[in-house]
Amino acid sequence: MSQILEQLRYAADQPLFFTRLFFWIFFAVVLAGYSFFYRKPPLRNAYLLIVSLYFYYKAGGLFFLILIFSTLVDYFIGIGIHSSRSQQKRKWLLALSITVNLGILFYFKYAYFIADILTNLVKEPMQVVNILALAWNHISGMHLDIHHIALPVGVSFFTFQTISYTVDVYRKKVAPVKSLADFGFYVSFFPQLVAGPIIRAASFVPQLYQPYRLIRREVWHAAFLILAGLIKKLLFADFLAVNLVDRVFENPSMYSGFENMMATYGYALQIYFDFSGYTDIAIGVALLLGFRLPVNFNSPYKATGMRDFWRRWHISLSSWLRDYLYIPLGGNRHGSFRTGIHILVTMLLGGLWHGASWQFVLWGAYHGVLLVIGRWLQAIPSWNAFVKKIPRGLKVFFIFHLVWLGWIIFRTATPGQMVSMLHELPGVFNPGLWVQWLKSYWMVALMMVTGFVLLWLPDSLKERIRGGFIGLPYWFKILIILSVLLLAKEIQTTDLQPFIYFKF
Amino acid sequence: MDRYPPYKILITLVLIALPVTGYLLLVPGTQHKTGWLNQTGVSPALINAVPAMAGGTRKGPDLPVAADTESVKKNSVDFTPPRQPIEFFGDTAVLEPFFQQLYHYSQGLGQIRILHYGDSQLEEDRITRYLRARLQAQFPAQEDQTQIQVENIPKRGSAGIDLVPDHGPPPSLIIMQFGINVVRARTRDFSYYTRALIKQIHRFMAVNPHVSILLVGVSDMAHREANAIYSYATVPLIRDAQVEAARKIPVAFWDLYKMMGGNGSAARWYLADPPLIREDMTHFSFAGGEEIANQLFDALMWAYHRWIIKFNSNSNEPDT
Repeated sequence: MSQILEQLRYAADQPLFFTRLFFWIFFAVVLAGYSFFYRKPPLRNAYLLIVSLYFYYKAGGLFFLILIFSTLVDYFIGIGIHSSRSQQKRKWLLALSITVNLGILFYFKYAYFIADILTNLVKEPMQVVNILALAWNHISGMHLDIHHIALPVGVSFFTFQTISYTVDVYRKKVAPVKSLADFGFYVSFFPQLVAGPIIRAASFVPQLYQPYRLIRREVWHAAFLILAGLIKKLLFADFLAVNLVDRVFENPSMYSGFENMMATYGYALQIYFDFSGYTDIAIGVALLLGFRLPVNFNSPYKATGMRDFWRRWHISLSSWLRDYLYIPLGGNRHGSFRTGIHILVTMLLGGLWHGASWQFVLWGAYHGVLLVIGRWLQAIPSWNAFVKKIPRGLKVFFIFHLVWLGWIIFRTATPGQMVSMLHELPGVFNPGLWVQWLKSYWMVALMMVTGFVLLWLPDSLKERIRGGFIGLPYWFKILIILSVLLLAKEIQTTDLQPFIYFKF
Repeated sequence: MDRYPPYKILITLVLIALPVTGYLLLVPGTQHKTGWLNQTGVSPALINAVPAMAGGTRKGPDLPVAADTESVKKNSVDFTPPRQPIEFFGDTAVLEPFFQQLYHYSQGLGQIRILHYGDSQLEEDRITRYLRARLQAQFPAQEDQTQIQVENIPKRGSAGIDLVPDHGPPPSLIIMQFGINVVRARTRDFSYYTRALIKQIHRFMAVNPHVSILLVGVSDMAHREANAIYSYATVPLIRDAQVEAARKIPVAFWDLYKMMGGNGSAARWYLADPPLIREDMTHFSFAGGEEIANQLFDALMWAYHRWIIKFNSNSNEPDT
């Protein structure tokens, strides 16, 4: 019994991954309770809010106070903006909301980064002191570590979500949420709390007042999404990470060009399968509770241009950056030079959002420059005529490799590591090792080939597979789900790997 | 409209979860893989405060079976990295002189002399003896060669910044294993240690410009406090200072702290059966010394074989 209680408590090393059995037991309990409340929207929302707060406590411990703080601040500011008549006051309230949210984000995410930059500037070692923990220790008499600032789970996602809310209220795009419980539910809805998709009040809040209307077809659509997500994460992403990608990126200069090449392709697959797999599960779980989350990925590796890529990759973030950063900066309304600057700034900050590291900034800059170049080229009529003649497959191949090069910047921890990896890559043309590598790595190679085939299956075929699954008899579907889960369990070689986007 | 109520979903979920749970619980060999079902393992949070004499958790890390020498045959292609590979900071050339001599030696040419400097961790030849045995078994002397020499040079109380270069026959490799004497320093800024280490390594290089140097990082070290065992918070900082020195020169670096398992590992090694660390939560036992020697040997051999493979794949002879 005490062991069961122990499981229910916050454990930093065991958050509620969708890939843990514990999550599904948790979800089963949630569904059991939900059966009593799902008919009445106010009760239903309150119930899910409590469940979500517990979920966050389990993953983030004391940090759930920050979630509550952020929720309260933005709830009252939202009402304040709506009710105040003076434009001046509305502006100040909006500024306050943005300052608070970005303040939380900067304090927890970028304190070390800023201390590092300052250290380099003034040549004096800067120490980070966690003043929040210090204050908390004074108040509560607890002994939290004050020399460390840990990143609260999902802080990058929920702060962006609350910013989008207050901005939308300011722009009069949405009416403020009247009940605090409903607003808290919007901020902390647990399937998407930890790593998105970032939901907009305009599309989510109306769902709070609609009655539960989930039909059989949607349930099995959700089951299909969850199953696909688990396959992507457990069968592909984790397998490739543990058996190939991590070890090569750890020590690129120890490996030949061919191995480095395979590892970089492996990472391109891994990050897509990891994040889109997570999103699929999040969307599926939310749907099973009767809520519809926005699509976050739309076959990004089928993009035929860089802009196209960003319309397909992590859509909820790129559209957030577009609506709340790029357009307020001025978007494309100030001539092509200013537009280029706006794109660059947006992408640099978008890169920095992924973490406090120069590699992410560099990655953002890389994508920004590519987008700007793409824009310039599109303005040339003869270029457009030329692009039209290129077969689609060739375009996809080319864009995929531009993105792939970006992932090398993204994944390597330091510029030195990146350079040594790029230095090894030309060695791929020495075929001495290929056969030997394939012999000992045939399983990894097989997974990679399968992965790429799945990526590039035509959409119509994917739809038919999904439709086919939904149309199967009940017991047959259960059998398929069971066999996939057991297969994943067998292939799994190590402990569960956390989702990549949990740390952003 | 045909609504699908939550309890129906629940029934389906249970239908799926029951067989999976049963499978995890009943099929042997699956329990240890699943994080949350595994109650015997010690979670990192617990390790930070292991009761001094916890009877229940007195189960150590799985000691890897000593790598059989068959698996590291000459020129065999081994793609699986060791538990903790040697770090080169992008420059594998730093151990190249040693690898070249090792390759020549395996062809029956030349001699190998390795100097293993260290603090009290190296006393009684606790680590070096096993490293020596593994190397000598891996590279048996041929005809008129003498066996690979691995000299054990313990300097009690030293931080590895006061060593006098040896003027004997030029060594092929210098291993420096220090750090525990800095752990109790009352500071969090170890940049002075980085600078002193760099000076020391330059002193070695002044005598033997082409010597390969491998810096072994500090090991985890713990103390008892209120009936619990805590790792010293300075250990990772010292490791970082050592990494910084290795990166700047550059020389090869082997992260012993990470190999042991990072924060809390001294406690885990102490609670292992047999104990890998002695009562003082600092010094390795002979079993611990053997474990470290084996891991270091694996890391060295892996780097060596990677070096041979890379030269082969560039269709050059290793001895060019």
